[in-house]
Amino acid sequence: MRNKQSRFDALVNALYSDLYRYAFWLCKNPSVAEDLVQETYLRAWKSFASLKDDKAAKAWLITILRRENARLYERYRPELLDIEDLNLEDKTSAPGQIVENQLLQKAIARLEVEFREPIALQVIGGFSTSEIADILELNKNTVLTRLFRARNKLKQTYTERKADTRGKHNG
Amino acid sequence: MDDLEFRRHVYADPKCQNTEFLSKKNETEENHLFVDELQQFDKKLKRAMDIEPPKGLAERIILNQALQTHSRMEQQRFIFSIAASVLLVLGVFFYIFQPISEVNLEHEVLAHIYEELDHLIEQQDKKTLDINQALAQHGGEFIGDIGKINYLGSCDIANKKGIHVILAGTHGSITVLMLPDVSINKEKMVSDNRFHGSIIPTGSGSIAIIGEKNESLNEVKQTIKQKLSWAI
Repeated sequence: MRNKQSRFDALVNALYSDLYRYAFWLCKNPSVAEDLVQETYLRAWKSFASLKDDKAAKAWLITILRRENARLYERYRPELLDIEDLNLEDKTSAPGQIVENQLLQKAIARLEVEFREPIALQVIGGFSTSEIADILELNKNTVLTRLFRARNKLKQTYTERKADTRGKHNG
Repeated sequence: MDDLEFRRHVYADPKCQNTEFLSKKNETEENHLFVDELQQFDKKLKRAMDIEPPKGLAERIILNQALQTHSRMEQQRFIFSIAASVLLVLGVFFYIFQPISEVNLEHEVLAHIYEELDHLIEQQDKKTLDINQALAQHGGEFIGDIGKINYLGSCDIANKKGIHVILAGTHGSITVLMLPDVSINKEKMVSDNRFHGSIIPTGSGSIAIIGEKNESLNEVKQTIKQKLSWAI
């Protein structure tokens, strides 16, 4: 019991941030994201015995979270918030950085979920394409195609907007 | 891997460690720069996606889990208390009703002796071995003789089959009713105007040892207790 509790606490402290970020980019709603993370950890506690290897914990938790998200969407569709209304706190970055972050955040939020999810797993989770394919239950080529399209779109938007803001500053 | 394939792969996975990918990257300066550019872009993406989780989220998760574990323990405690109450009610029920059946057993034993008074004067000269044969099906056996046996038969007490034995006493006969299927909690005294004795628990059943009022039964009781052994 003691051992289980301390393993669980360690798992919370090590992974809750990434899990929350992933949940947020999945549902684009901070309070729903928090609920998803809470529910994910409760379910994880109940079936803790099925986690044999702590190294696999991240993928395991993500799988639980995705299932919870699907279950939630079956019951009701949480209101999708516009990323511009979210007012994501960013205390660490310099002002120029904040503008850049917001620009990219909007672009990510506008991606369709099938493109947003693999890129979130890759960038936040640090998963390989094979691991992403396992988590999303897709074949590797589909994952590669989606990642290509996601990043292509983001890069394009980023370059265009960056040019826009520069144009405005210059003009 | 051709150029188009390479460029698509850089977009899909700029940190790819595949040897084919890495050798293609090192083929030209242009390829190298292209991979660098996308890796730089990934850093920007990571910065943008690394939003701050709500304050105290980790603590809330652990608290939530602790509360749920606690409430499940409460639930289990509730179920245990209900189970305990049910057992208590059953216990009281049996406590109330059991003495009645034991009173009935004492009456039945005496009634059976009066019904078959003629067995008290039997002189069959049976052996302990004969009793053991009858006892065998119940898993019981006397080790050694238990005295002079004047009668051996079967009887029916409390709707259960028993073995009816008459031993020779110093003041008339001693009736021993072996009831392997009639269990009692503790020794019950039996007495009326003519007979006295007791029913003692043994194995999973009981044995009634009844003699005339002036008969001393302690010795017989001790002999039976000591020499009777139950295999089950």
